[in-house]
Amino acid sequence: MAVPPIVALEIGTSKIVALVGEMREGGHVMITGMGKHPSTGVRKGEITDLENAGVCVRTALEEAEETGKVSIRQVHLAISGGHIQSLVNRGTVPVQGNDGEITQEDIDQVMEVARAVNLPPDRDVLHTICQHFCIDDQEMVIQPEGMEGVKLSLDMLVLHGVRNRLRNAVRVVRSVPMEVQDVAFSGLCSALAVLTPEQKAGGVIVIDLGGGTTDYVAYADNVVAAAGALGVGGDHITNDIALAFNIPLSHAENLKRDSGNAVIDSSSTGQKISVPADVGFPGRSISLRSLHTVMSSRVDEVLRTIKKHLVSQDILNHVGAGVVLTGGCAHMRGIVSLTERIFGLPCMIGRPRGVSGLMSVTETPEFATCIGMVQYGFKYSRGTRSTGIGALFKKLIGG
Amino acid sequence: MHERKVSIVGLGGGGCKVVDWIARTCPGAPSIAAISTDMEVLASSHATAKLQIGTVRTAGLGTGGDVNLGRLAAEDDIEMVRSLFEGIDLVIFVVALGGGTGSGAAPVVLKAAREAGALTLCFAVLPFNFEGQQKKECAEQGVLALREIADALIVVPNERLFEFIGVSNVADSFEKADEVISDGIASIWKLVMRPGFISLDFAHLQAIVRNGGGVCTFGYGVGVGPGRVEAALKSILEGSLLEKGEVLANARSLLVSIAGGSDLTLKEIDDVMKAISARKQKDAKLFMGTVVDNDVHDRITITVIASEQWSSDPAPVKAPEPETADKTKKIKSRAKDLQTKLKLEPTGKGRFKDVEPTVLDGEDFDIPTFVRRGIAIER
Repeated sequence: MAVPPIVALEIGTSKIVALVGEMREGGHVMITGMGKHPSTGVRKGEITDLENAGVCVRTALEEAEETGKVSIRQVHLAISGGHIQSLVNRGTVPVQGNDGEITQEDIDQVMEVARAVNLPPDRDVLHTICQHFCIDDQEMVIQPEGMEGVKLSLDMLVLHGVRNRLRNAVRVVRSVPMEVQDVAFSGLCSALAVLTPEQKAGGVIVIDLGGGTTDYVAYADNVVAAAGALGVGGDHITNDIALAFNIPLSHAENLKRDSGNAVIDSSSTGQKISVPADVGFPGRSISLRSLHTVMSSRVDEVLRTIKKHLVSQDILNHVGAGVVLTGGCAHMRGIVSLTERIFGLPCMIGRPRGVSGLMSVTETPEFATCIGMVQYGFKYSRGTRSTGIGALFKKLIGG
Repeated sequence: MHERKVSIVGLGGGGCKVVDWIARTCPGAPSIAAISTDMEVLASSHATAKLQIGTVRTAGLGTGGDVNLGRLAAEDDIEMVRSLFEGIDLVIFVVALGGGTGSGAAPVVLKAAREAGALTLCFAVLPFNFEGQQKKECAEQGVLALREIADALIVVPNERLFEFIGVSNVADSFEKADEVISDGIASIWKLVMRPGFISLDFAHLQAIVRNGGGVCTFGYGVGVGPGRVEAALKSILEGSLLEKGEVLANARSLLVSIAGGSDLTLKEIDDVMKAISARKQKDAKLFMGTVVDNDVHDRITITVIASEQWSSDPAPVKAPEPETADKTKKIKSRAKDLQTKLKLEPTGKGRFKDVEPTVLDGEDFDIPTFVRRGIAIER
């Protein structure tokens, strides 16, 4: 094997997933091992109990070692949480070269300037992603080298999060003990796994509907235009159902999975579904329409919040290829039609691309993040780094 | 015919102020009770019955916004509260949510009323936005708790009363808001107690309350002098209380009360009902009644209670129920099955109550969306 396998780890709110991936010919990724464990000690994508989360991570990794027949020493960690936000920072430098010709030196310099963003003291940069160059007044330049100009600017998308929370996730992994080789925003990983080059060029929004968080990444004109996460996810839907009908959370979860719908369907009117009795709970029947109303109002709100963010940054007008949904809640009935209605764009469920191996993993949207992390690992963590994560990463680990 | 006993109960500082207004301005009002933890509120009240709760805990000084203290205060004096509801058929509660007594004690007091066999109609007044996020959250949790218990919960956001208030100072604003709510409540009890030539009896009200969804929306319009019908209708159809008539269009059942003096004409009633019928869904239930008050001249008040849901399974609704002696029994059995449903203490956030809230654009996303949007959930 030319390249050693990469192990991706996602500490999710509902489950912890570890995948072992190998690189095959033509950039194809083969998933050879998988470990999965329900998580405890994680709320809204953030660690609330280091010890319990650590135990779950260890179990998932052991399972991955067993199925993948490898010994794992390092992992690539996908991180989420409602604190992760993005901003666009423009850096400008005067062109140094003779005759105003732009050289690689100028480009390196403008990248450095654009990356140097002022954040509140409790925040750290998670990713910096180049968008477009601008020479004097000419916007949207992709490759400025060799062109002429007086000043060179670069728009840099900066993803940042609260330092302590980012570090907590790393700390859990190191408590296993296990080395963290790289970290990446899980929404970005999902996008990497499911999008086609055509979608990126046409402009697309990827929404990862997870248990504790909803991550989103928007591509416009082939670059990442915005990204972020809301601390709202499938757990909230379950909680809403439990509160609305006064039933235990486990029953609410079952109702959501078995009878849920993100749109209020006229055929559900008058139908009742029974919630079985349990210890300390007498059992009862509830209206199907009410269940759908509770779910629909929540999903509607989350999607509209994302839409509002994108509209306020004038990105929605540049999205032509539609919306791609991933994550566990993408299984929900009616979610595609609700998304289409809200965004006014075609919507589809994203499935991981360019990957093979364990069918149960590669065919469903739930593992998109982790598969994306494997692909991210092969793409950026070896050889040249084009995103400049290295510096940040040392900072995270070093603390 | 057995005369229905109605009681209007104000709870907490805000609720007491509203019932005080009714006591002062509506001669012949039914028994009016004021329940509060604050001695001063009760001292200045004109209510016929005054009940101070939680004296031991609060030393008569109020709860200072502590919801838990409000709840404990009501539980301490629950026997005293119960005695208030003996033999009462309909209790109209008025509570301003957001304070300690309002949000904390209201669920306890309402439960006592239902267990005593009364039909409970609860007007919950939500604070103005300027009163702050904390009060708002407290009120939202109150709504969640009350919709579990009240037969009908009518939510009145103060914010939507702005158009009745106009530009006036703070004290006048609150006073004016209280006036609108009092007027609405008065028109409901008058409907039951003092029918006009088109009546809506207690059985009707009971059917509406029991079959409609848990959370109802309150609409109000008033007009004086020539063009009074147009003015009152304008408030109903274009005012923010019913969201510019949107609520009418979405409602599954509507209760319309038209109140006026002896000069109220059939033509006026017809005009009002035509305008409202045109806006409602074709198959939505519509109930109406009129109240004629001889003390009133040249004035028309329209009150609408819109419910988003209508389920006809609990009881046939079309025909008004005959007056039977077993009615109280029926209500009591309902109160009993309520107890099994209330095993879990309702909290606003459930599993998220101990974690850092997700606040986006000033809204706490951990509170269910349907609660924040005031969507009625039929169970």
